[in-house]
Amino acid sequence: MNNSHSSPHERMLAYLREGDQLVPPDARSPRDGEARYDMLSAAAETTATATNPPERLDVSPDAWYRDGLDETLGRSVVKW
Amino acid sequence: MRQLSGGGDDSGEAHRRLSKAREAALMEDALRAIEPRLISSVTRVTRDYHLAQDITQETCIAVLQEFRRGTKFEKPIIVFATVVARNKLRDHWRKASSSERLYDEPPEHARQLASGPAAGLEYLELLESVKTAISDERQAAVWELTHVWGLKGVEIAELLEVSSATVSRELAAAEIKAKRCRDDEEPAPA
Repeated sequence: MNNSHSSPHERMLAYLREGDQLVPPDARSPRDGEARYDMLSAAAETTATATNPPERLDVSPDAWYRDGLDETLGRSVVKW
Repeated sequence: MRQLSGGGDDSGEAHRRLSKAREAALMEDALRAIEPRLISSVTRVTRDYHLAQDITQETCIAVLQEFRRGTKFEKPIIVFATVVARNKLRDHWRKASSSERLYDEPPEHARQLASGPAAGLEYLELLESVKTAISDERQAAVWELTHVWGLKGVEIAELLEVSSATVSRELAAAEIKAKRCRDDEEPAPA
């Protein structure tokens, strides 16, 4: 699929489909509720006290446009 | 008649506890719903299921911490979680890329470095080619949120603060442009 005859849309979807095959079937449905929640809850408690104050998250449209992975990382990644 | 709760201050306290318990139950439900979605989308992007599990877990913890700080989620929690996951992925790749520059060969113990940067680079190049083809910021965002992050139209509308109709229109426009092959734009010379 990675050729000049396919569109960017097709190439990206092909890439994503390959990644999709790595997801185990049981990971696609919700996990056991209470035990899982208790574990996350305890971890949230621990990390909240052990680390610096968490960053304030900006969920505005501008932040989504501004912090795009390609713009933030792309240039430096491509330079490796 | 039997009262369900005590009177006076006790009643207020009981009500607050009940309210908190309900909120916690809602949060638990929300996390159960978003976790599989995040694992799927992050695995699709990274091609590393274990890394996706780590990022998803960190994201769920961040959502819980935000909830406990008393944040009122004005947008759907999956929107909040998607933004957190993308930031964490960005930070992971940034760290991985800077670590890799320090070594001639990646250290053996660095499992994530083996697949992360390579998959990250390929993903970023593909995303850049899509965005270049679309050449419109909002349309490209709608395309990415739909196909990469698996958000629904109403969720994208909330994130980008537009109507659902606008999301549908922008997605259609984006797909037409992204589906154009390079050959469509640059016909071979006769």
